[in-house]
Amino acid sequence: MRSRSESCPFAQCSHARGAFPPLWHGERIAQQARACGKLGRVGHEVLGRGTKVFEAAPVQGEWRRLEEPDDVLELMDESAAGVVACVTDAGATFLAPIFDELTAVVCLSGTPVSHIGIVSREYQVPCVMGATLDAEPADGDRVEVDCSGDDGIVRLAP
Amino acid sequence: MKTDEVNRWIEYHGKISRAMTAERTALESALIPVTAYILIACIECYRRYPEMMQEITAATSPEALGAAGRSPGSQIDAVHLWSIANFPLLGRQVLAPFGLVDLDRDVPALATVLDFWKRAAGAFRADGELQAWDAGLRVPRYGPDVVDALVAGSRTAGDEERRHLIRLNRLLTTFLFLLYFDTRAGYQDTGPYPLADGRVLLVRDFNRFGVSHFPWSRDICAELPYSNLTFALVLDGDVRVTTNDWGTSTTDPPDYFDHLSAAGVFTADDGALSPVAPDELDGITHTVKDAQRNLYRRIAGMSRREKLDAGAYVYFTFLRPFAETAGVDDRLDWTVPRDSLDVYEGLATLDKMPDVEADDSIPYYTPVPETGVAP
Repeated sequence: MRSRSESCPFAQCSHARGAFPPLWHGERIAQQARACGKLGRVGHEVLGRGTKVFEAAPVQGEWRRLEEPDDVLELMDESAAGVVACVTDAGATFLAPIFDELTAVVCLSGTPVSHIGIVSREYQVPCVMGATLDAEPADGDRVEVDCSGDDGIVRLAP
Repeated sequence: MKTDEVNRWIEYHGKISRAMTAERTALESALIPVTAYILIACIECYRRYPEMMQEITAATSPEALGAAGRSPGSQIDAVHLWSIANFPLLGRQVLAPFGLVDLDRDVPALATVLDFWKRAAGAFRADGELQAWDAGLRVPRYGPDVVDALVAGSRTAGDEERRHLIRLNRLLTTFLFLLYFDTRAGYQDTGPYPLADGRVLLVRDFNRFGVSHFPWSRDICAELPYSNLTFALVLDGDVRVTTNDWGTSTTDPPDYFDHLSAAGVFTADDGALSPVAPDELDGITHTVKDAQRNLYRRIAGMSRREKLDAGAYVYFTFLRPFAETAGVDDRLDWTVPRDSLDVYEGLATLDKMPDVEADDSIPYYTPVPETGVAP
């Protein structure tokens, strides 16, 4: 986990490439987040929140921060199934070819009527807009996106 | 239109656009430089639309053009109408701080734009209002003849047909955003249309997604079986529907497909509205999905300059459906960039709209100066 202003301590050792077991990585994230007072117990820690586009039951998937079209092309060629995509911008175009496979979207800007919100509604892909992350998972971490309450909430998966 | 009337319409658009923009806020995409090409295009619109509108008006009245938009398949619609008024105003707003507004031309140019918009918008709606904002978020684009035909051609969908309908709707939604560079120019909702039996009709038009004047459509869209599809979504009477002038609908409850009473898919490719057979939907979906993947690769492979110019072209040609309907599109120059070259390089590097503290005491669009002082 990294704060928005720090570099990720696991950036060079992604468990997604098999370097560390996911559970180990998740526990380290939880420990670090608890130490900074953000978390309660392992498995339900709130990492961030924003505005949900529509009400939806919690879903779990693999966190992926997508920043460049090449990131999307990679998923288009492999699979975006089970992915919780975190994106900065609220345009509808960036995720277009993989939207139907995504488990959820976390957008760090915009509102539910931004284009990406409109598309998520049509696809019924749970989406959190204008999300603020106190701590950001590493790519490959299991997270839960919960749009069942007043806010859209991102947690470490139980 | 005199200066005071120009200022009334500037204030009118400013209030509405400020409120609409505040709801949406973000424009950017990691795929394409949205902010930069919007600003470049809007400057082109401010500098070129007035003369182009005069040429269009010389061929066909704005009232006739607005009325032509009340037929399915036309791209004279609420989104294009909002845009042809607001793009020049936004372009002027960008130029003003640099002292690049030509004061001798400013009032007559804006008068031409606003007069064209006002006459066309009134005829398009035909309900005495000019925009959805004035009318409780309703866009009554279609009259009783079209509404009756859409409802008569809709039916209760079985589970499989419903799945195909939803899947095609989703694919077209993202594909049209992509084809039109993150604008609503190709896909939009109108309504609500209350029906006599208490249900409500929401109409979703996907327009011009076949081969068009967009260079990137020529091979990408060649295999698509249709260019225009209209979805008639008849919803239960307890669903509340609103639509705005950006073609966005909201429903309460949000998942309107759970409250779908009947549905139909139609095309206006041959002019008249004709039904698309339900067993075609799945095949169309697969074709659109392939086209979407190919288009994404195409756009991702463009240079930043190519993306800028393509996006600016999409925005600048919001006036083109009016010119086409008037039969003068071939006489007009749609080249972009052309009249923004003095600011192009500076704007081309922008990645996002500058963060500006909202101040409601400052007009969203600067009024025309009564004294001749630069805005």
